[in-house]
Formats: sequence, structure tokens, C-alpha cells
Amino acid sequence: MAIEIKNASFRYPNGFTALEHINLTISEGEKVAIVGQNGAGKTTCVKMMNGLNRPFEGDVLIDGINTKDVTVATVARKVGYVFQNPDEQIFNSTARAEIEYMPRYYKLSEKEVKERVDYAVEICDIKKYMDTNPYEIPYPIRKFVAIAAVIASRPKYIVLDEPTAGQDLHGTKTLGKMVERLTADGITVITITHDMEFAVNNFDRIIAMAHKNVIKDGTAQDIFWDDAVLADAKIKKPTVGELAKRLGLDGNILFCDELVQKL
Amino acid sequence: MAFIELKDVSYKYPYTKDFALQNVTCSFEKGKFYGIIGENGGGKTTLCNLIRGLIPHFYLGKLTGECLVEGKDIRDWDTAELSSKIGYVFQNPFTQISGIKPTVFEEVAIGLENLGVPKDVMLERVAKVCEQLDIGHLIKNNPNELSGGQRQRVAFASIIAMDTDTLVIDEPTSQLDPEGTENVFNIINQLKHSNKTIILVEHKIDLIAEFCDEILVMENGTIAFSGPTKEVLTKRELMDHNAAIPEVAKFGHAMADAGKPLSEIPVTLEKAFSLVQERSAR
Amino acid sequence: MDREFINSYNDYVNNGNAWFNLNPLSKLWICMCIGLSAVVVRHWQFGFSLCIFYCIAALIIGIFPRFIKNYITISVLVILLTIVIRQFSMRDPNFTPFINILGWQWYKEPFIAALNIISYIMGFSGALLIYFQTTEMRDLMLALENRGVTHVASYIMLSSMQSVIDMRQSAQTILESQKSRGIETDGNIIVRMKAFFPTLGPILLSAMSGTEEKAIAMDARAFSHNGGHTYLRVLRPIPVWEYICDGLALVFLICSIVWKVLSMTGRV
Repeated sequence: MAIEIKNASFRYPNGFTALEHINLTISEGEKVAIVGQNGAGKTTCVKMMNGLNRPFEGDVLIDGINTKDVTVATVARKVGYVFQNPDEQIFNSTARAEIEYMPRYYKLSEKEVKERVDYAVEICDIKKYMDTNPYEIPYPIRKFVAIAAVIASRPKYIVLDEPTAGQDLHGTKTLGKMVERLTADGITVITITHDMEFAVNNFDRIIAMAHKNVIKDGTAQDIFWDDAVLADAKIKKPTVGELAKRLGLDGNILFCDELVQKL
Repeated sequence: MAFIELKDVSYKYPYTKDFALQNVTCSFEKGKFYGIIGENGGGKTTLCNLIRGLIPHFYLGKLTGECLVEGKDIRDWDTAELSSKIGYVFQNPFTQISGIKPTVFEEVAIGLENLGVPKDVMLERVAKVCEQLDIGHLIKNNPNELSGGQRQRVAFASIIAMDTDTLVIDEPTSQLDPEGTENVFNIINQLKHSNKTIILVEHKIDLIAEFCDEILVMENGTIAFSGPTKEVLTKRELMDHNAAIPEVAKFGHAMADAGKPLSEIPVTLEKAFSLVQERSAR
Repeated sequence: MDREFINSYNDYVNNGNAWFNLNPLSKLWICMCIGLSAVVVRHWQFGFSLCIFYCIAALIIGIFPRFIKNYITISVLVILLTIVIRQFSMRDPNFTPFINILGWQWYKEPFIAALNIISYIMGFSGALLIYFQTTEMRDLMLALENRGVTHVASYIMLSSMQSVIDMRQSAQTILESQKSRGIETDGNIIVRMKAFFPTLGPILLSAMSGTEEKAIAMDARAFSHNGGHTYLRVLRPIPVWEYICDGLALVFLICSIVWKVLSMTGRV
């Protein structure tokens, strides 16, 4: 069971090719972060995973089902996608209604609806905003409402598009814990992020994208200690790694405690 | 003399029960670069709105205490006059595009048109700012069709073009990638060197640590800490206040905890590097 | 950076040819005079001559393809509606039989009456169509600002036009996000409606909350500054011949009124 992108290329209606012959397999239970410059094709790529973007060449298979053969809504039952901008997603008048919407749409029992909502709300830490109009909830927290709404529809794979943008320390920590909890509960988490510290601390597989394709796919050490990849994807080594590098230490250090131990 | 001075300011937005600012006292001097950090909902944006005069002129609500800009109370300022003194770039890149100009070049020029800047000066300044912000290749594009990151840079360029003495910038890099972010910080730093006062709200603490002169940490509508960057960011308690501290400062604390203290807590990479070298030389 | 493009702002606004470059207000004046003459005269021979004139004019100005596309759409609608309604609404035993379409008898008098109505609608709408296809709204607003309309009014006008485009776009993104939430949006009309209605709220809300922030953004760009205003784009000063054209258009309209008065009093 996996998301498989096979030799897929994607072109926008205006003729712009955003991805060229990309190959990628994400298996169940993985924690994957996608990094790279704006315009590298990250969002286009994850939108292929839930069928919003269909490749004009090659295939995208979700647990063996080709996204070309089914509606986006069908794919969405397996792959939940949280938009970068929550305002493009939220359409109910309270956070609660928003989060309950999909479980009710799937005609689940009251008990199940409550269970799912409670689960999502706990993970996203938005309990005190439940009866507020989403437009009155501060933007960073509104992002959590959007995430909770997707969690409540309980997909097998959750794709987050730049969840860390605009978050403070607490928000980033909540996101980190969320990734941990979801994967522990059997949900695969895929995220796009510009926050390299967030990627290194919470994900065991990093995919670097550039030039409409994947340029390197591996562990945090593989990516962040490969200077050619960093230059190509225009990303930076996390600060601790950079310090270790300048000090001439070996061992591909990326974490604070590793560095402290080494010195 | 302080350019902007807040004395015991409290403010409550209309229709809300909690104060967004509570007994805030602080001052901003000319030519300095201030970083405002802290939790979301802590009052950072409200402080910006006040300095820029949107409170009380645009947002009603209850304002007490004194907020002086160049010694004159914010209530007595004319907002039009303030807009030519204090530039304000705010968070949402989508609402900062006017929507009435078909090219980025014209979009960036709006402020100058409104200020009545002669056309030859306008052309030169807009061209320069577009180059500076790396949107030179976009000048013919329709601003309504740009990506979030591109719009953010266009909005920023539009304000920089107005060449105000003071700039209040609220999270200008939220939509940008690391390279774009660094680029924006470099521009802000250049502005500082042309003797402008800069008040910047940001979460990207490593960059704040590198560039800012002074830091204000906001929490619950109050200023929890303030002072020179190095002094504030090396405080261990910061982490309890939901404010991020630089990775290298964390490293400094961890070294101390492991019984291998550096001679001081670093806040920038350069400093951390030299401190570790100094320690191994000992 | 494209220097040539930047330097183009040093010249007066140039939209292509002499017609495009007419001052938007004189152009409006000319179009209105000609269009109104059709309304005044209300005679099918005059109206249809104007239609042919518009087509030739469109050809010369260089907008023929898009002009004719829209013009035909308008005319098909107007013609069908008017002729059919006239045939049903005008009844008189003295009418002259005209043609017979599959057993449906048409009469000449209502047909001529319909032609007269069509000709004046087409005669008027053709002028308007040419005007709006050859004039950018921002140029019109700029011309009005030069005549003393405030830039606030001009901004409201232009930005509400943009907000229609924005709303259409945000409807599309919201629909897309609904799909990716798992809500079926493709299928029969009921499925589509069910997916569409919930999006109306957020579209309006986001448009409204956007307006407030936009007002602040414009304020930050010194929108309310009073010390004079300069323009990046400048319309060329109105040359004398343009005033003459305006005058001729007025003479044309007056002639058509005179003709109408004379014909009504039975002197032509």
C-alpha cells in the first residue's frame, strides 16, 4: 500500500510544465518532508497525490488505484490535502461545523463523529476556538482548524502544504507532536516546508525538489550534508549542521545533542 | 530623543473582551532595527497597528495611555501625513495588491503617484526598487496573477519605493522560501544602513538574531522582555515564554548543561563558531 | 530589466492607433452621438446602414474579429426576441401577409415595426460595443480624474471590477478544495448544486474581509494624501482635431433630430 508516482509529468492549462518525469513512492507509515525553492514544483507534486492535478503523462497510483480513473473526491478519502492558505478551504460558520463536516458527509454515527472530532481537536489543540467563526480565529490557528477538518475525515495519507508558515514556537511544536501522533496511529504524513529545522526534527525522509523534479531523496543526513544538493535546491543546512561543518567535525551532525557530545 | 514613544498604553479592539495591549511602555529610536517576537496573539500586530496610526484612526476600540510619534500624540496625527512618514507592510500578501493596476511596475508606483512625486523621479525609484527586490523580471506582469511569494515582494517594494523614514514590517517572509527570506532580510539591513528606523515582526529567530539591534518579546499584550538583541536572546527563560531562541543559543545552553560551558551564550553562528574555537584552544 | 518598457512611461499613453488613442471622453462623446442618432431616427434603413458602418469601422480600427463575434451574439438575441414578440403582439386584419414559415403566417407591418426596433437597438449597442472594446476602463477613469473626479471614486470603480474577477477565482479554489476534502462536485446538477451553495458564504466573507484590509493597504500607500497627485501614465493632451471630431459628431446627432422632427411633422 503506497502512493506511487510513476514517470509523471504535469502541465498547467496555460502551457507551463511544472513537473517532468517524476518518480516517487511513499509507503504507508512514512514521515516525509518535501523541501525546495518556491516554484520547484512541490505543491504541484502533492496535488498530484490527491488527484487535483492529473499527470498528462505517466501515472499516479494510490494503493493501486490510478487517480485518472476516479474522481478527486474518491481519492480524497485516502489522501487528505491541507491547503497552504486555510481561507481557501474553510467554508463553515464555526470551527466545529467545519471539522464535523466530512464525518457527517460520510454519514457516520453521532458517536463516531464525536470520536473523530475530539481526536482531531485534541491533536490540533484548538479546543477553545470550537464555537468561533473561523474568520475571527487568528490566521495561524485557522490553519490548525483546516488541518483538524482534514484529520477528522480520516484519510490514510495526510498532505500538509507549508503548515509551519506563520506559526510561533508553540504552533511549530504542536505540529511536531501532530506528526508523531498521526504516524503512530497509522496515518502517513507528507509535508511541504521551508523550515529546515522542522523538517530535520520531525521527519525521517526528506525529498529535495528542484528543476521540476526530485533531485535527492533520503534521510536528513543524506540531504543536508550534500552541499551540491543544497545549492541546487537553494536550501540551507540547519544551523547546528552549519556550525559542525565550519568546525570541521565529521559524522554528518544535525542535532544539538550530537554536537555537544562531539565537543 | 525617541522617535516613537509608548507610555502605559492599553488597547482593546471593539467587540472583544480581552485587551490586546496592556500597559505597554517602550520607545523606538531613529536609525535602529527593532525585532518584535513572541507568541501569536501576543499583541505584535496590534502594536504595529498602533504605531502606524491604524489604531485609533481605523480600528476604533478603547485606547488609553499615550503613543507619541515625533512627540505628537497618535490621536492628533493625520493618517495621510503618517503614511508618508511610516511605511507599513503587513502580513497578508493577497490584500496588499491594489487590484487596479495591470502591471507590477504601475503597482509599485501607486504610493509615489499619491504622494505627488514627479514622474522622472518616480520612474527611476520604481525601477531601482524592483531591481533591489528581485522583481525586475516581473515588471510587465499582472500583479493579480502572481504567486503569494511574488505578491509579498511586490507589496514590500511598493512601500520601500515611498522612501519613508520608518518602516513597520509585519512578517514579510511568511510566503517566501529560505533564499527569498534571506534576500528580504538583506534589503531590510541595507535600509537600516541608510538610517531608517525599522520595526520588524518575525518568527525566524536566527535571522532576527543576526540583524536586529534590539528585541521586544511580546506575550499576552505585554512586553515580557526588551533590550539589546544579545541580552534578550540569551535568556534561558525565553523558552518558557513561547518565544523561539536561536539554535546556537540553545546549543550554548546545552553546552553549559553538559558541563562544557562556552565563555558566553552565542546568538549568531559566527559568534558560536569563534566561541567553540576559543574553548578548544583553552 | 526591460528598460524599453520603463521608458515607455515617459511617453503619453499609446494604445495603438488613432482611434484607440482618442481621449476616452471624446471617444465616448462620439460613440454616444452616433449611437443616439439611431435611437432618435428609429428607421430600419438608417439603423442598418449604421450597423454596416460599425462593421467597416471595426475593420479599420482593427478589432473586427472580436467585434463581430459579440455583435452577432447581441443581434441574434435581439432579432429573435423582437421579431417573434412583434408577430404575436401586433394583430390587425388589415395586415399584409408576408411570408409563411411552416404554416405560421407572418405579416409585413409587424415585421417592419420589428426591424425599426432592432435597428435602433443594434445602432445604439454597436456604438457602445466599439467604445468598450477600444477603451480601457483605467484610461476612462484617468480621463475622468483629469476632469476632477477624485481618485477615490476612480479606485472604487476599478477595484470593484477586479473584485468580480477575484471572486470568480476564489470560487474556483474553494470548489477545488471541496473536491480534495472528499465532497463530490462532479456529476449531475443536484450534486453540483449541493457542492456549490456552501461556497457562497466564504466567497462573500473573504471578499468582505479583503475589502477592509485593502483599505488599510491603500492607506499605507498614501492614498488619502492631499498634497497633489502625479500620474505614471499620462493621456495625451487633446488635440484640436479631436474637438472638431466631437463637434462633427454633435452636428450629426442634431441633423438626425432635425430630420426626425421634420418627418414627424410630415415635411420629409
